[in-house]
Amino acid sequence: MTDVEFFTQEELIVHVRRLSADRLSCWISEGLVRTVDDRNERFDVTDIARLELLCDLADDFDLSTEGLGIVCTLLDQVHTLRSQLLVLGKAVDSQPSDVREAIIGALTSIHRRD
Amino acid sequence: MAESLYDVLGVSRDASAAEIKKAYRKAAKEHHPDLNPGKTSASDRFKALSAAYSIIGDEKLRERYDRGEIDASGQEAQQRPYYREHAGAAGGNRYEDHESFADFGDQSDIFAELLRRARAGERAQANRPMPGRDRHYSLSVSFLEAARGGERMLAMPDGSDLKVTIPAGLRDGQTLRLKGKGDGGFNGGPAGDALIDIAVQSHALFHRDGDNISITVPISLTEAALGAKIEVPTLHGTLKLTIPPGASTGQKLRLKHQGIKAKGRSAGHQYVELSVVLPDASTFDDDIKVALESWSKRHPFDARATWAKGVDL
Repeated sequence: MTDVEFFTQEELIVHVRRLSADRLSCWISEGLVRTVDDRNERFDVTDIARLELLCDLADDFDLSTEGLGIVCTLLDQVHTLRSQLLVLGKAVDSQPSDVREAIIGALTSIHRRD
Repeated sequence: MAESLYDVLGVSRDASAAEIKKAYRKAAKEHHPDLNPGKTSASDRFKALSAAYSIIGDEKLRERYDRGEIDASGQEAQQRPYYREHAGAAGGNRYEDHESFADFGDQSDIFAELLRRARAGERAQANRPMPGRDRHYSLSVSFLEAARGGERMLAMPDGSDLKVTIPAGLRDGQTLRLKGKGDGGFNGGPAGDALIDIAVQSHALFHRDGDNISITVPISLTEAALGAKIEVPTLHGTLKLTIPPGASTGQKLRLKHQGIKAKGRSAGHQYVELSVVLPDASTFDDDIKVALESWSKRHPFDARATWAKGVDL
């Protein structure tokens, strides 16, 4: 836990070239980026990657803050779905072969029914 | 010839800035790794796209590129993390959003179970132990405290006192780290550290060079001429020092191992520089004048005989 590197708001602005202090505080108050703690001073590499993406969307695609909010909500849902789908896939993979076969068979019949 | 930056973006060389931006947006939508989280080939293509756009999307750089002043490889896209690499990992947990399949729980037992686990995970995430933050302080320490070591109480913002142990030989500008004396941790996580920046004040008599101490001690003409035993202050108390007969101003005597005794280092020395001080001229009576005159006639001495030898003036 302690070997995770944390960044303050000032350090984020240094790391993410296109990020200004105003932009960061706006995005924090909109909840687009959130700290690991509740003091808004402990960001990690996840937030740096997220801020790079937000800068892309804001600068290259001219997205407004509202637009960013919508994209982020959908993006977070996509990533959550992806990880849950992966969990489900791994759970199925860990089953004995007859169970897997049965599930694959069920997939086919549900598809046909739909 | 290598693919031109215009080819990368699929625009003609005379495309307008707006056309270039439009082409970049269209291609980036397709290839941005974070807008295509499952497409593993996306990052290489996007790298090429954004490198191209960073040049021909910029009016000035584009002109220089067109004139051949910079080439396509001149501006490599910066190494940057993509969000998709972190979104599913442990660090991305706080951005999870399960609402998109919250309704599945009613239709499928397995989704009900996934949802239950996800929500339990969210709670665990919120309650996970986190280390507290480090706190920075500055502390001004007297020369003697820093040299000899000691203890100081530092007033904390919350009104409590923090005991700071000053190790002998502490230097100006050094930082002391007190483990666990920073802000408290969260949910059972360890506390942060207190980091104390040290400023060491100077001393009227003692000077310091590493672990060695130097001091200038005034001696009388008689002590200088005839030799003497005088008392000299050191960090560790007063010591008797033998002045040899015929001592001069500027002569340095060493008191072995009487400098700073730092833990883990061999003790420094104290250097005593002598400074001959004459009494007020009114005390030079006829006796001493006659004696000095006759003495210097018998023993002529040029104090500046070698002083300026070989020196450019």
